Amino acid sequence: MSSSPSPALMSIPNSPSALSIGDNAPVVCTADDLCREDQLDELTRSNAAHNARLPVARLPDDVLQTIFEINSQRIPVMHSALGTPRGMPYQMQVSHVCRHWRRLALQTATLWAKFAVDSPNRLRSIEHLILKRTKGTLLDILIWDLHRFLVRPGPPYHFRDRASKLTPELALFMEKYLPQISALSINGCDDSVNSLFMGQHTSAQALVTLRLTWRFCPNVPDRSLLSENPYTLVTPNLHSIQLNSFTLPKFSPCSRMPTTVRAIRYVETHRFTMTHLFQELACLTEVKALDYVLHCFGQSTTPWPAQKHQLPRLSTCQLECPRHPECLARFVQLLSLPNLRWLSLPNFGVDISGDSLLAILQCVPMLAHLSIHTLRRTILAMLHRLVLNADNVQMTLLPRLKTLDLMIMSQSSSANLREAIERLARARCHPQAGVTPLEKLSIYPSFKDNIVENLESLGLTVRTLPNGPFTRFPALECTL
Amino acid sequence: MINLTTSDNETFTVDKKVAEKSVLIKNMLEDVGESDQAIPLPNVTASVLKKVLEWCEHHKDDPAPPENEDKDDTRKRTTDISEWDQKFIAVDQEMLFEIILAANYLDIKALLDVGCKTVANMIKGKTPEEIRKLFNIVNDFTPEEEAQIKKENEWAEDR
Repeated sequence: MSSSPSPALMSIPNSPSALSIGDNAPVVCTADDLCREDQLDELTRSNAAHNARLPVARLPDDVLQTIFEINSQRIPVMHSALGTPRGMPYQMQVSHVCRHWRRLALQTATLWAKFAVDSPNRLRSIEHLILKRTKGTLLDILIWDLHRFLVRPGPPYHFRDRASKLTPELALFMEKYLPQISALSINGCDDSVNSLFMGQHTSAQALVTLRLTWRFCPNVPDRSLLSENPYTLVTPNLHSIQLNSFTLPKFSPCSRMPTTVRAIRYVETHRFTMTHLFQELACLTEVKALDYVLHCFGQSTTPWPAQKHQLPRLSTCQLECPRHPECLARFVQLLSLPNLRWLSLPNFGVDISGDSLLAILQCVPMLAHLSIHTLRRTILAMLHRLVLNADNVQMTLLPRLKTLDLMIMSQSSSANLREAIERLARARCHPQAGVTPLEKLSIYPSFKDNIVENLESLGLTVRTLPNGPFTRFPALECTL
Repeated sequence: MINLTTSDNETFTVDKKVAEKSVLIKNMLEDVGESDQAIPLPNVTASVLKKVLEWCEHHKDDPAPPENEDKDDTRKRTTDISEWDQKFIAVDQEMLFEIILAANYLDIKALLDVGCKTVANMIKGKTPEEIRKLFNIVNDFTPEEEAQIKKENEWAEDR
């Protein structure tokens, strides 16, 4: 296969035939392909009349379309084994129920705008669906593995050949549809993503969400290399970005910087140093919601920055550094977070003395909501400091705290914990100068009913947290 | 307190805060001002309004949805329904659709969401035949349309 687009294809990027749709085009029907009412036979009319009298037929079309959209799935071009009725995407299932549902489903453009692309061969079918059913609506595209779209320089091939050119089909597809894509998810390596974006001259004007997930590429010999991004994205409407081991892309000056960021970083052993991380954070001055997972391996061998970095707009944050709470504390101490209101610390790790946790909490004076998942001893240390200062006379930690979620790594609560929470309720649930009253405690494991009643009589609303994965904040959940 | 009269001429007296979960009623109250006259709800029967008001009473202190939240945001949300709402909406199909219609008419977005998610969850994972059975729908496709559907399925298969 050629490593660059043929002149014939390049010359007509906006034509429907750019991906050679034509002779063997897949059959994609539209609502216009349904038989006209006056063409229906007696039996069909009778069946349609029966359906029209059913309770479900009373639902207005727009409500039924909303119901269809709720569970709409990414449309895969499936393998034969999955091409069974149950393996089909939800929206195809509903479009095969009856004539009325089919007409509505085919008229609902957003149902057909979410794709998973897994090989160059499927692009033709996807483009055909886009042309016939999406009516210009915004697209949500997932490229399962960008490596499948790379072409090798051979023949003859050698397993060490480095393939960094994209197939012309994908390059054309992206050139044509990038302005229409609102959510783009790509799994690949630096080289493959560089190849995808470097040739693009199109503005990703509709792009709201970008997800880049690093995937090992056998063609790149040194996986520890963190290459400089050679491309610049033009994203005037970007809202959120998710980077799993990918560096933050460069954005043109007219781009909107993301306000919601989720990032997973492996520090020291893989690609990132602390300096990288803080350089990256320095670019994220607009971020309002941040979900950051730091994987540290042993002692840092590269220097930490000396200066603090400001994230002035950050209001919601979830931080994770499995097994190294001391690293997380140092990380937070190097950030200035003057407006942080919500903080979640899942998998906080072993911090027996509670020193790391307390160091973090001292950096977030405006915090109103804290969620934490850790050991009982760490929680006890924190509860003590929420009542009494280090000198045991005055409480100043988290003066704005209103709600507290405690997920304790234990199967049962203890007398110590109950007493600590009672002390907290007595000290923090009533109005006092400069301190916001604590209103709500959500906890796992649950307290007995009589303890809950006692705490509620002190002014604290008590709820039980479900035992399961720590819940993300809604602000992060809905955007990422 | 506010008086609401249903299509079958039953009058309900409810707390203003509860009634104002309905954007329709809220707007009507703003337009006509304070009045002793009952607000007519010609599209809602007493049995349905009773259920709707039960929901409004339970959710009266919920924060209002953000003003700029559009339909796209609704779609992004999960199909999770709170435990209370699940119990509330565990009714027969006819009542479920009536609640959805009433929520749509009264413009109670959160209740409409609960109803739509419930129906969506009923459909999820079912084949077209199973969905037909669920709602008593009969297959009314013509032979030509059946043939189209069969051909259409081919694009989903490996080529």
